[in-house]
Amino acid sequence: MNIIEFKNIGKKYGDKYVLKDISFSVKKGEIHAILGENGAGKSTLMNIVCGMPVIEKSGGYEGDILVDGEKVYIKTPIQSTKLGIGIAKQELSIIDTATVWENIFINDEITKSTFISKILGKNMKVIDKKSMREESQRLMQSMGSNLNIECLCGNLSIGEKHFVEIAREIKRKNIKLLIFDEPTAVFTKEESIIFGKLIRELKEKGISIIFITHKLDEVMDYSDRITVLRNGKYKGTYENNGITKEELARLMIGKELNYPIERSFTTSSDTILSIKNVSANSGNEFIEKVSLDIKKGEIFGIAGVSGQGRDTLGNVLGGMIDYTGEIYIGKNIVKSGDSEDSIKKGISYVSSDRKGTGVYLAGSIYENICISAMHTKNRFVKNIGFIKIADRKAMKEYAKTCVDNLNIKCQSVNQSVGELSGGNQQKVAIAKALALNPTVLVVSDVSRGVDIGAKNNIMDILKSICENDNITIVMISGDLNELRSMCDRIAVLNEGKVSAILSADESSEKFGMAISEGVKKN
Amino acid sequence: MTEKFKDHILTFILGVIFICVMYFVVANGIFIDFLNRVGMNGILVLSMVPAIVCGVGLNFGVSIGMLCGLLGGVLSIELGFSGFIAFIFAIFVGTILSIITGILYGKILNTVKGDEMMVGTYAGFSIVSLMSIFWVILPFKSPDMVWTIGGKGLRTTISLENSFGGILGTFGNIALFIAMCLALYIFFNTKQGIAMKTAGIKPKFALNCGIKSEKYRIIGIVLSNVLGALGILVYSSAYGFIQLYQAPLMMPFSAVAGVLLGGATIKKASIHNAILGVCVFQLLMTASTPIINSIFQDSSLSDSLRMVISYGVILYALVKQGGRRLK
Repeated sequence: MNIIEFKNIGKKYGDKYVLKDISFSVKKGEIHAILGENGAGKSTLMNIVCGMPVIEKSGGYEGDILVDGEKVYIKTPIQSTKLGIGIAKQELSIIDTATVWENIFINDEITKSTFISKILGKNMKVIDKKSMREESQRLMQSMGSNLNIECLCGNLSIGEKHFVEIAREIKRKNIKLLIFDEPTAVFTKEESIIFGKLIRELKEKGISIIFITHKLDEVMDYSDRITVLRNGKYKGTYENNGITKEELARLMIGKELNYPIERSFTTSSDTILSIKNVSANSGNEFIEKVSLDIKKGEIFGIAGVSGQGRDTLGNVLGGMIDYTGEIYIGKNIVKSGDSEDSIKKGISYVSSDRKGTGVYLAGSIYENICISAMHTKNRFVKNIGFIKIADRKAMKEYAKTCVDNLNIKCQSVNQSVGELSGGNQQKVAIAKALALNPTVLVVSDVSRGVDIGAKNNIMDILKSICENDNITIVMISGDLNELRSMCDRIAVLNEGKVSAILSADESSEKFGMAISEGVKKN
Repeated sequence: MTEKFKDHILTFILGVIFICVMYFVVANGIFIDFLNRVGMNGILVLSMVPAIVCGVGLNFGVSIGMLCGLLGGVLSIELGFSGFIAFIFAIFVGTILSIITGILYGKILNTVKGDEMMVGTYAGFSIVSLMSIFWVILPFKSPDMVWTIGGKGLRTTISLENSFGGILGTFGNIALFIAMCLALYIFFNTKQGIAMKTAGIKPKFALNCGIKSEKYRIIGIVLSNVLGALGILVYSSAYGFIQLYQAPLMMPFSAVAGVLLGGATIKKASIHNAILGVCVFQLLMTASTPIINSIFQDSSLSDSLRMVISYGVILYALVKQGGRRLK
């Protein structure tokens, strides 16, 4: 019996389809994995099932969803809750200053009626702390976790918080379908084992489980059936024992493409940037003991699914956050978390956070391009006595040459960057980095949110920078195809560690395995 | 009606009001009083600009700089200087002290990012109260300053008749104010100044550019406090008295109100905001006194009006800022 069935589900933002013609079903008491790379449409699909407002606000979805054979159109999260669908999200909705049992029962408290509530209505009912505690204790035991329910959630590990969130979902009596969005990314080994046991128990109880992941190991370990999505398209549903890991990897990444590397120069054997045992963390991302040697004149790619340490590595190189370990450029060590020092030693960083970090939207094009060079390299400065006055004329002239060289479409260099399109903003950010005369240019997700024409343009610019100006480029990106068409070598990050360093013409299978399997666990 | 057209109408109405008020001011012979007030308060209002530009927001703690200036003033009297030397010495001591305290205060503010204005207000309040104790126990001897009975502790108001009272004159004060505006304008166009602006507007972008916003926040606070010290000395000299104890407690508020009236916000300010602000604010003060006096025959009402305006404007700016954050 099918608990939920998807028929020709489609979703478009603007006129771009992010999901198209998705049709599959989940049986009662089944563990169903949805496998896909970044941007495959996994999260969008789950947003549709959960009735997240973002879907409805952007024009709803196409196709039909059948719950228990009945056609429904899910508009709000409340509706999906009533249908018995629960979700444990990647971004936790846990209140850190409340205890475990309070979090489990938040907005769904067990109440006792009293004399007053009988007169004034159910909002005056008294909260029954005792039965909530007992129920929480029971839930935790049934999940095989020995978490103390009186703990404040702020003191728990992220894995434990996930358990609290799961407990919140499974305490509901009508639950039929439970969705986990990349749950194991943050689990320790023990927690993964408990999690595996837990979902199998839930399965026995007849609850269906969808779990979204990009990790092949987990798919093979836990699931009964596997649905693969790629670029918003349905690539088939397979029985677990009817398919191999390699085949799944190929389905997930796509077919072999020929990536001609049309570059006419050879990289030297000198190491220009050497990263030794670098660890750092920022927010929910971390890198651990990453070591890389990047050769002079090469374009070096860094791949990986988001959240696996890509941005953190970029921020470390740009001096935006502190790190432990050593980074050498040539023979000089780069100070930790000191962007000025990074720039002075020759690393320019174009951040993936374009609007927040890369450019200053209200500022003019020429200011955006020149401020950094003025500050760190004393360019565009007139000395009057001991006072260093900014030379706006020189800035504007330099900005004009940048506009011509990088083909930035604008009316004048005085125009504010906020008025430009995404691609042109990104070019301004690149011009800013180039104004620093770097030896190594670190670019992070340069093509994110940029239309295809501008993207090709940017890629050509990067190639020509590397060829003509002899600047080594470290290219961080979530788009593997983009990296394979640009780079000489590609390091794949998984769970904050380098899982493989592959040359661009390796098979898709190998990339797929490196992205999803990560470092072999001993 | 388009927004722009509305703006033009608003400008026109304000212009008419401004001309009427100016006519009133000039016709009543209080124009010189107005200029005097602008010269007195100008630098204090200007002291808000670097703090806003460097990203700290309204510097309610500028009273720390003011106290440094006052300390310079009383030291200069104690040492028996008079005339220009007294004034220069007071400025010199005030500047050095406010640089030191500014660095410390800036470091404190760097640890409470996001709450600078509240922390600044209370830092200012507590330092003023602390200094109230010190004014009593510091071993000053000059008979011009200590209480006549007992001979210990400084008076609440100290006459500057024998030292630097009115040393610059009305136009001297205004000239100094303009000079300070020019100096600040030049600073904002230097390498350091542009780095400070960038750090204040967008710390993350600045960091990406190799600019450490913490450092420039401290520089901004120091500049603000130095201008505060200079400002209070000019104010005292024009007023003819140094006011101690609780007097500096509320001084930052009128400076804040001034710069806000000039069109600055918590996030954005420029020198012309300070110039415009001090003119508008002092015009209101100058014009309101005779008007209210002619209506109510009670002079204390004009002081109430001053409070309504200054606190009302601050309230408006904070509410507007909060509203924007909610969106």
